[in-house]
Amino acid sequence: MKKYENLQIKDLIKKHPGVVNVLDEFNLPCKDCRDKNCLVKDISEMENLSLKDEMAFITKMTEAVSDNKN
Amino acid sequence: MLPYWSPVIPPVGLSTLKNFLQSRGYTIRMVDFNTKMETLTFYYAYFDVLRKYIPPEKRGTFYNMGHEILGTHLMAFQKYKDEKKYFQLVKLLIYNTYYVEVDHVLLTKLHEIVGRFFSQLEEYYLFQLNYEKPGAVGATLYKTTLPLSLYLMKLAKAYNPAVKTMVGGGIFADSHKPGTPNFTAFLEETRSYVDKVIIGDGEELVLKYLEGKFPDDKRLLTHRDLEASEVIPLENRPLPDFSDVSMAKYTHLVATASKGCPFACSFCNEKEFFGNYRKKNPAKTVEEMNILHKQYNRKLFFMTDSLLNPVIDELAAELIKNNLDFYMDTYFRTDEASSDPARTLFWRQGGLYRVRIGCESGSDKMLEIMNKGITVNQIREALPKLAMAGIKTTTYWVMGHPYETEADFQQTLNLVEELKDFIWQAECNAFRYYYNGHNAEPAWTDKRRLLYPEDLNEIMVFKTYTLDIYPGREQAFDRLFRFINHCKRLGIPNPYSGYEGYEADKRWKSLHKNSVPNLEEIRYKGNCDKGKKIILADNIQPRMEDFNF
Repeated sequence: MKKYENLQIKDLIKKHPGVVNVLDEFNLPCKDCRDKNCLVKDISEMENLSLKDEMAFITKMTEAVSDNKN
Repeated sequence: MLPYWSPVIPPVGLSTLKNFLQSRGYTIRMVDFNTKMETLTFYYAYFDVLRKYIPPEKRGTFYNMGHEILGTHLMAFQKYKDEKKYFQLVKLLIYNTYYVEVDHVLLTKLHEIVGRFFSQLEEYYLFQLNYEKPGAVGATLYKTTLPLSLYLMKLAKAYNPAVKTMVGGGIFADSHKPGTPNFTAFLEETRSYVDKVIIGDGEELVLKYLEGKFPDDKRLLTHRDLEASEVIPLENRPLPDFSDVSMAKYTHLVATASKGCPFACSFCNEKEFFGNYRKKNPAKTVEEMNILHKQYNRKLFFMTDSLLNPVIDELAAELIKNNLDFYMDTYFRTDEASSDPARTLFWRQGGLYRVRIGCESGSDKMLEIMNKGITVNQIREALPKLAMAGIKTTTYWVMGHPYETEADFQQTLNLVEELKDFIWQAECNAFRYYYNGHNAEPAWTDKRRLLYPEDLNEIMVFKTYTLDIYPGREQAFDRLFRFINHCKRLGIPNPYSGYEGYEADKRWKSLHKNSVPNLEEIRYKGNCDKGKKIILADNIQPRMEDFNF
């Protein structure tokens, strides 16, 4: 996941479409955003995720982008 | 960056270090805990509970005063073994600040709030350590960030003893200045988990440390550990990289036009901390401001200079020349120039937005004792000229400085009343004694004593001193409460929240036709007061260029 942190979310979605499910799970509006320009690393802070949710979000995103998925 | 750091000015030291080390091939991740929701929740939970026990007339600058309690409490929470002593200390901390007795119900509530926050931070930090697997971790220390920073340094070392740990920050120019008992206590306390203590600018020293150029047993690193050829000139120092900071949550950008301080006040340690005074070429400063502006879409800059006076003329001229509508918020000193309306209008035209001035007292006798190098007349002359130009004036005052009589204090109240319409903000503090660095210190040596009983100092780690010199601590706080109530009666604000700032700006606009815009108006580019006509004071001959504003 770390290697994708400085990607824009639209590029990560292209590369790993499965991350959309994670974004949905945390009610993050990225999927419906017109620009999708935010950097992956900024999303949890911008969306004011709690520390607990941020940890869960990182864990699930890491799983979603791991080599054996999508 | 650990709590608590008010989210106004983004962490510039760490962000600059990040940029510098990245340019040398290191991968740097900065975590800013201050914009996390849990930090704010904790902060307001703690103070909301405490506030209920403090009578309104004693709340003073409630949060500002409370930071001392919170900081010591957070340290004691980590260190206590005897619960009775721990609660006794927290009770005394509150008493020695607000002079009220509190019950065990409050102490238990505060303890629970603090405990919950520690658990949240610990879980998150361990997660981050596991995720990032850093080779080195560091923290910047200020009085309010010290306890939690040390806690997390300890966790990092326990998590992986091979991790390099380092700390730096403004605390070493202030309450933990080298040579003080608190600095010695700091070194002792952190011996097992902080590898390096960095005093002053960290870029070159941290790089040298990461490159393995310092022996393991050398813990203290200062600019004296650098060869002249290793020091980066001021002009070439890196800009901050705020990419890890949630900039939407901060109001200011940051710029620097000079380092160190041209003055050598006996109560200050700037010279030792930052070395000799150096000025940056103003064109370079403005170029850097423009780069940051384009990157982060902000126009209001907090200037990190100790004082902007020596560079303000050139800086304002450069901003005007480049037709840039940036604003500067800065520490300032009343002097002859700031009593000249033509100059203050020129500065305003160049973007001077807010000046933070240490007025301290309305008594010339006290200003002399403090070795301030200013007079009451200078304050009286300068504030109206700055205000007339619309520049927001934040004034700092100190109550209960040694030898301040009731008559001196009354002079301060009178001065504030006389100048009320020219003061955007009046912030005051009760005099606090730090072991070292104060004016006339030798004369005070045999007057200082520990504020808290010796057996509680073990869990505080760092000691708090007071002076047995008139008027003393309790009287100082009494004057602080009276000063604040006086300002309230006069309608002089001391804004803390965004809403209070907005209200203070509304008052300023109603008082001064040249008033700078409020924070929200200039937060994002595109909304500025460029084009607004400056209104000249009656006694100034118009200069055409003033009207180009």
